[in-house]
Amino acid sequence: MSTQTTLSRREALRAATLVLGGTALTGGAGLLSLTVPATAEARRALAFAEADFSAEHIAWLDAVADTILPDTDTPGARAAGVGPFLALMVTDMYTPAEQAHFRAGMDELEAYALSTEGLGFMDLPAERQLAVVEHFDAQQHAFEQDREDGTMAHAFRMLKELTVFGYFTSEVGCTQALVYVAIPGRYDPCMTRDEDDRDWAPH
Amino acid sequence: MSKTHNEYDAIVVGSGISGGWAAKELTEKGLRVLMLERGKNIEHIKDYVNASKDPWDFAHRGRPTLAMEEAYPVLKRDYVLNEKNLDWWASDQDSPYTEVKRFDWFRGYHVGGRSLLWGRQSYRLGPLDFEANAKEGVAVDWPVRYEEIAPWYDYVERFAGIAGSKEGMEQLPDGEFQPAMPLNCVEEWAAGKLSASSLGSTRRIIPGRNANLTQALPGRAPCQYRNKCWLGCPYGAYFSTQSSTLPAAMATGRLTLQPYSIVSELIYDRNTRKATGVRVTDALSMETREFKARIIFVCASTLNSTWLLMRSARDEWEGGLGSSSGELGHNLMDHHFRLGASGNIDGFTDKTTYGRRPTGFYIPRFQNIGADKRDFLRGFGYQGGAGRDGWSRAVAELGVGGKFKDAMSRPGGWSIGATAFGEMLPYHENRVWLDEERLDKWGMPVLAIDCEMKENEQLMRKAMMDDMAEILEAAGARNVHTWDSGYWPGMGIHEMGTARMGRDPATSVLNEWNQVWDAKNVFVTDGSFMTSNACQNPSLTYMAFTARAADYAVEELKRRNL
Repeated sequence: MSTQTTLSRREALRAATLVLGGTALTGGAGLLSLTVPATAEARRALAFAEADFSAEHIAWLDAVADTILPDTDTPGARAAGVGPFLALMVTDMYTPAEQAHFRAGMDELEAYALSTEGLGFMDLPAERQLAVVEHFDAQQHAFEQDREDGTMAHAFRMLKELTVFGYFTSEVGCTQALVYVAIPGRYDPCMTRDEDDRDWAPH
Repeated sequence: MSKTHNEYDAIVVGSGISGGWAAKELTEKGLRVLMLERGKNIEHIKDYVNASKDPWDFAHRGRPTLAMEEAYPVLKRDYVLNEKNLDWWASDQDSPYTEVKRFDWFRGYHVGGRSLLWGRQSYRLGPLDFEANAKEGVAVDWPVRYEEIAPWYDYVERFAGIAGSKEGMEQLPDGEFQPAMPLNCVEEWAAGKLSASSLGSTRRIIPGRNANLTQALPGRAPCQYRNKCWLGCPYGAYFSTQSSTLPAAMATGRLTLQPYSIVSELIYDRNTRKATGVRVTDALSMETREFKARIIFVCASTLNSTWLLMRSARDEWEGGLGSSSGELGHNLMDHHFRLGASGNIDGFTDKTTYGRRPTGFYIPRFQNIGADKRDFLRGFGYQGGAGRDGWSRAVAELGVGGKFKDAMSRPGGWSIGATAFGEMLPYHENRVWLDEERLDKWGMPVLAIDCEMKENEQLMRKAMMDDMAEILEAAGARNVHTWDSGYWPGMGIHEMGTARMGRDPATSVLNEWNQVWDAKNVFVTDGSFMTSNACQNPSLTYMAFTARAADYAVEELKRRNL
């Protein structure tokens, strides 16, 4: 994963624009002097590397998961409890090395949000959150094409995998995004469906 | 019955598929039977505590945790380590064994054994399988031919309830089936394409044959298509000791079931050349007790039965009861698998399936049959299925956000694929023995296991992938690719051999009636007896041989030969 933690002048400008609510500001030095303090103020970077998952971390995971799978005509990942699920699964399932890798990935995503958008991920408007997540999704997708067996997955791939799994096995995911039939009672080997029919939930 | 009562007509060691059948047959024929199980009891329905939970009721949604992986260093090697039925798998801590070479031994130590956990695929061995050793000069000849066991297959199929279709294939004889669980529309289409192709005369896609009811049997409802079999079925819709043989045996009033009873040894009387009973260690209190019986059925599962024989009559034979031929512990086999091919099928986007079918399709063996000659002996079959790609495709696909989520909530395209299951030859050097250096918590020397695939299996594995790719292409699939997830002996959970039957006491442990040559009132009817292992899932064959041996044993008792 490439890491980008120092702000270039161009990125600082772009960040400043966003900090000020997207108001079109023009000008050089004046702009910077106006906005840099505000940017620093907004840098509420969450540090994930060492600590257990705090409530704030879980809220952050919820925000990322809910960007991957947001509310549409069905509830999204936050409503499905995916944030707490991610924290539980990372803690209980991943080896210490995998956990460190996952947390480093969280740090990196947060740093990227700060560097490109000027705000921590949670403070971004939804469409900018989506842009950040799309960036990491593209990165992991490319990375995974060439990854060798036995090496660790891209941290965002781990997060996305657990998000997808957690969402579609949750009560919200099973019963609202999908169609949950606990006891089908019969088997139809060839049932006609409409284009928009939802898929069957897992069991 | 007094509290010191310790005499029975028969003792059955083990309560899994074979033990359950032995108990049923022997009690129904009038014998008073003691069935000993080393683990805890699991009561039908009442103890299926996870069977009706929803996916979200499990904290980790079924996945294994680090703590589970630490506690189960063997079980973690494959899918069997999971959150949903963990306490139905034997504890790795309490059940050590020595791996001379890696051997994955996945055990179920409780009433019902692996009958609660099995894959339920149920296929007969055919004439070809029983003749192969003799024709090829491999190991020793089976002392039984298909015609002799066929009526017993009929008998156990009718009681167990096997769903299947009659196909008229000599290498996979038809049985007494309930209606099959049908192929779905894409499987049916692919089967038709394959049938019309140049491969179609020998390679066929047929419905899987499985021990799930499609019609009710007494006390058992038909399958409800939940596909949660391995959590226990509240409907009794799949064959298990609990759903099927145990209630039948209990109904006679002649069965005593005793859990937590580890049989440390069979007690052998050199004067009569018979076993007089068993010595039992209580798994919890460690107390020992003896029970006597006229006949003993050893059904503790393949390696456990041999392990017990090796601990018995050691004053008489250093290698244990049944070791006079030098074959006890040898010729260990498993089915090698975890490889095959997959692809996509275009179209059918307006079709789906309703209900979760607990089986798939089967492709019976076609290699080394007729004109299909190979550079290896024996062959393999395939188990597979077709289905629409589900939400989990979201992980690998590029995409995030609302449209992506909504798309992933709809089914994707159709995929089709299958896994090969291959025969493993019975090699004398694939074997187990007592590791006297190492004792388990009950003071028993553990088993050492030394088993590997050899050249025949390695040659077969290449064909197992390539042939499936050919089949899928002929069946109309696109993007066909082969895969091999790697295999170590034991992973098939089809351990067989180590107490083979044969025609000659000098080269086999058991005779044609599953009797130990060295102690004729001892019968071994689990997978240990298998002289070769064919490529079909074996449990149905254990059922048939157990029922046949029980019938013979009772006749011999009546004739006062035992």
